[in-house]
Amino acid sequence: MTVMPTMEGGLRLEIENGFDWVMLEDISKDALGDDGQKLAERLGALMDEESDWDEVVIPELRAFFSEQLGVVTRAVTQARKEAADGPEDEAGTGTLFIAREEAESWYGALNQARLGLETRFQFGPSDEMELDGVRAFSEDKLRGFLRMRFYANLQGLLLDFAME
Amino acid sequence: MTTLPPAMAPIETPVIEKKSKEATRLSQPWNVVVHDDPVNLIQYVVKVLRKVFGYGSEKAEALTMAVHKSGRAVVWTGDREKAELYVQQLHHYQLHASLEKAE
Repeated sequence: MTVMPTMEGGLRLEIENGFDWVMLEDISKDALGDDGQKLAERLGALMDEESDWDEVVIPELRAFFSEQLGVVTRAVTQARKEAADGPEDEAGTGTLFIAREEAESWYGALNQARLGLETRFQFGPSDEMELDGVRAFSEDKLRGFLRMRFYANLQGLLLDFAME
Repeated sequence: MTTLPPAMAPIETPVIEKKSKEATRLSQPWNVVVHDDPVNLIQYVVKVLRKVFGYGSEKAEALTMAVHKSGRAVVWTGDREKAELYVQQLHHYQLHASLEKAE
């Protein structure tokens, strides 16, 4: 996959094969994780009983985070459909645009995905990770680690080129 | 955010106590605390602190590094109602934030 900034202030993702599509489709799956979308509840747990978090804020946050995933899922589904309708000799390739106005939703969805992976695999801070430790990962954990790095890199590009 | 007791509530001792506690709770200063987590990128936390509190780059970066190094940092202090609004915004940006009474 090649990612580049656009003149309009967004990002253009050139998808080169089926593996790239899977990586993009995994964003929502990783975000939902094993226990579904619990981020709003986890954040709410930091608040004391005197706040109205449970009744007011958590439902609103849940809907907000869910919509972030919706933006990503719809964009990937649409781009893949357009790619499938294209010329047969270019099967598997496609283009996905992240508009500037959707950059925050993408960033949030990627954050949720990374949080889901962190909850599942307990990688810890990336700046404390050593290569020997990564080599000892199981295959499943290594795949999760690679997705984690991909998501973080895409977040970095969003921050640099698409988010104010 | 905070639900105040109704103005026409019956005058009973517990209600008065509750009102008094509520007034104290609202008048005393509260800290907005941001906690470190292994997911949020430093560059993003700086951006969020600038956006939510209107801080300059230098202050936002110093606070972010304090969160990263110490595990937590007080990023704002003031009245409870405003502090809750700030925490709500930080939660929207997926930052781990909470409230605590200021010393």
